[in-house]
Amino acid sequence: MMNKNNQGRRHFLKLGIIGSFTLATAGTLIPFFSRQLANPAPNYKVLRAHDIDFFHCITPVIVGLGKYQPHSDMETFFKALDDKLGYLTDSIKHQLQQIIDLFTAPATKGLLTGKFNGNWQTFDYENVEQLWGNWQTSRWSVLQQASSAISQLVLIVWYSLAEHWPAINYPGPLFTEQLVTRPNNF
Amino acid sequence: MSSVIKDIYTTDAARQWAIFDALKTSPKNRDFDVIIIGTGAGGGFTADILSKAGLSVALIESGPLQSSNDFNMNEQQAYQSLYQEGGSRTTEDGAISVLQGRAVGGTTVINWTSCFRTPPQTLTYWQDQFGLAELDSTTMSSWFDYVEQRLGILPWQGQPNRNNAILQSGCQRLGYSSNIIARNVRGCWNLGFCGTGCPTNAKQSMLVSTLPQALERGASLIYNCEAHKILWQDDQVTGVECHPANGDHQSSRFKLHARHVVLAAGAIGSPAILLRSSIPDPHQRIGRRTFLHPVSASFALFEEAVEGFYGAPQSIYSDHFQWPADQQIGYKLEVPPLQPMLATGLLKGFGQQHRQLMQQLPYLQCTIALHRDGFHPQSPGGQVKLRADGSPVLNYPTTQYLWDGVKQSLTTMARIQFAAGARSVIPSHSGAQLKKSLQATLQQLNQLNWQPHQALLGSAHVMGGCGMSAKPESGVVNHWGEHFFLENLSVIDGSCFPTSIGANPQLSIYALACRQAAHLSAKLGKPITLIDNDKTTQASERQGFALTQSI
Ligand SMILES: Cc1cc2nc3c(=O)[nH]c(=O)nc-3n(C[C@H](O)[C@H](O)[C@H](O)COP(=O)(O)OP(=O)(O)OC[C@H]3O[C@@H](n4cnc5c(N)ncnc54)[C@H](O)[C@@H]3O)c2cc1C
Repeated sequence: MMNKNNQGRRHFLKLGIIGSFTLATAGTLIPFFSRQLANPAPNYKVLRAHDIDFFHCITPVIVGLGKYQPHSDMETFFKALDDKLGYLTDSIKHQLQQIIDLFTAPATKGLLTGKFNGNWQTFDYENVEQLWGNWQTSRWSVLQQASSAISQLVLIVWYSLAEHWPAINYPGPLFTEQLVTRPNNF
Repeated sequence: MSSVIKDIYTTDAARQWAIFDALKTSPKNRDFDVIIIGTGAGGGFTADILSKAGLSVALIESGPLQSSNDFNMNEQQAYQSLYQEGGSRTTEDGAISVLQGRAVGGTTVINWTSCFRTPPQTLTYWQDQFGLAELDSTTMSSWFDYVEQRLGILPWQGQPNRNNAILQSGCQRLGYSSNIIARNVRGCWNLGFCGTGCPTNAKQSMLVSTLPQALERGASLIYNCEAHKILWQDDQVTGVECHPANGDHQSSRFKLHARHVVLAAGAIGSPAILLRSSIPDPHQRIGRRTFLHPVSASFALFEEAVEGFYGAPQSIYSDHFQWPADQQIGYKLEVPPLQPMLATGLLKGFGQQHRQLMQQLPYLQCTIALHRDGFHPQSPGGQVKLRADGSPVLNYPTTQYLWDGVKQSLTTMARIQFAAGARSVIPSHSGAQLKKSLQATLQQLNQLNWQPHQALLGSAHVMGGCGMSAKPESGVVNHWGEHFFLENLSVIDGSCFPTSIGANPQLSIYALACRQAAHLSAKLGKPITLIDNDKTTQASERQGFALTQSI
């Protein structure tokens, strides 16, 4: 974990084209939501319980599934997301967690969403969809960058999973029988 | 699970090679003639030539050693393990996604195999602006010949896949010039998975060409090994301080020594090492003028299947807009492969519209424009800096000049796509919608906000940051790639370009690397003859000698 004192400056959170994430968080907001839990959820390397709740709600909206999905249907996705986050540098990982804290801590979540009661899972799909759309073009660059970056991250991890390929009519690579081999794992 | 392809790194010959995984072990011999940092386009050819000349060489590579058995056409695995920062590198403000490789073989392991000679206009610009008179087209052409032969670089013989064919037909209908791309492949299966590592060894990346040659001649390769600093005193480099790429850096550091050090860690990587080493930089040139060929993307839906996920990813290009008469930024038109992760990464937006587009993935065509940065005062490029932990980050401000170019290129791409029969077109922009006519598309392009994070900007071509120049005031190295202030340090990779190339850069890097490495061998007392140029000089020298004798 990064030292809190490092957070005074403007920080940027980013993930590239293959997991794009970019964010400038206003340092002044950080202390308000640093109270959140830092430990990964059981069986996860990076994702914390409230990260999972947040992604459970936001992912169907970003992917455009039209309705929330049962938790059990999302588990492969959470695992793949967790894996992906494991490859990020520590500072970027920490910044991602901070922005999720910003979105989920009661006070800041209330300010951002207009709903102070309940967690994200109690929000209507349509409301979240509208909120997310507004954030993408928000004048506040933190929201714009965070929502665009989280969208990119979610979409990339979603479509990395073979179980989601039939829905986009992607047949998968050719000649797998001949060419997919046991890795050397040097 | 049995492969029809022989993995070069599991052969009996390979078992004899001096390959070390720094996470497990390190070489006993720590003294070499030359240490090369980085095993990509620049490092690969340098190692090949220096070892051929008879010099002892050590290669240091921060990425893993993966080879054909590991390359299973799996996007997720490949991006996470073979790309810098797990595929998530961006510029400092996150506005531009930057794809770069990190593996034995460098970015050549995951590149798309397009080969272009350095445009003569670029070389002329370097002569005029940076005094690089030695790098004229005639001199360079022998080196291009040499590399083209070496890597089997030929115009693509197969049919372009439909993603490429659409670019071609749109250009033809509009009277825009277009041409076939030359590729560094031998026996290509036309799979389309160059970007995840070639499973058939057809791609002539450094992994299967120059590096095995160098290893066969006794070069040492230390992978999963990060070069932290160059060790130097007065005007001399003495070696390199390294550590395993993961884990406890402080306690596991070790030093290698050499008569000469070649920096080939790529753009961003090479300047980062110089910055970490506090190399003399009185004119503050290190890391500056780093270029990206910033990319914009336009998607189009077609009635017939496009299947951009299969087939040679790039086989057609257009340079029609590359060298405009006015001062606007020029751009090259190409197409990307469209496997699901890359396609979704290039497509901005979210929700229902995004979903509907992705559901039609087989019918999606994507054209990209690579903007030629670094040729105009309003295109000064970016600057590589170090984060607190010593890792590099590129600050690359997006100028109005670039946004004007992006709007222009998206206009051109939409024109081409509609001319080729597109049903609808959408620029990669979070505020954009699919439009059914050219007019509506152009209107939309006028209305959208052109600023970071809303419009897609990406890069797969990082160049510069240790630029060549005739003078230390405007560069880091001379035209041989020799550092201005440290005698036995060279930079031989994409970082030494003083501007972007204005074409996909690998062939420019290969050819220049061969020229620089041949020069370096001679300087280290082991001259080597590789090209006709040399032959002609040497032949004429010999002839001169013979003539004198006969007189
Ligand atoms: C997806 C993609 C597609 C591309 N397609 C094409 C194409 O079709 N045609 C084309 O011409 N170009 C293409 N390129 C670009 C081209 O491959 C690169 O420009 C070229 O390989 C750069 O060569 P280089 O020697 O400068 O660096 P690289 O090839 O990137 O090699 C540098 C190596 O140094 C290592 N390194 C960095 N820092 C350190 C350190 N501190 N210690 C040890 N090792 C270090 C890196 O891990 C890397 O392996 C593509 C790039 C990408 C990302």
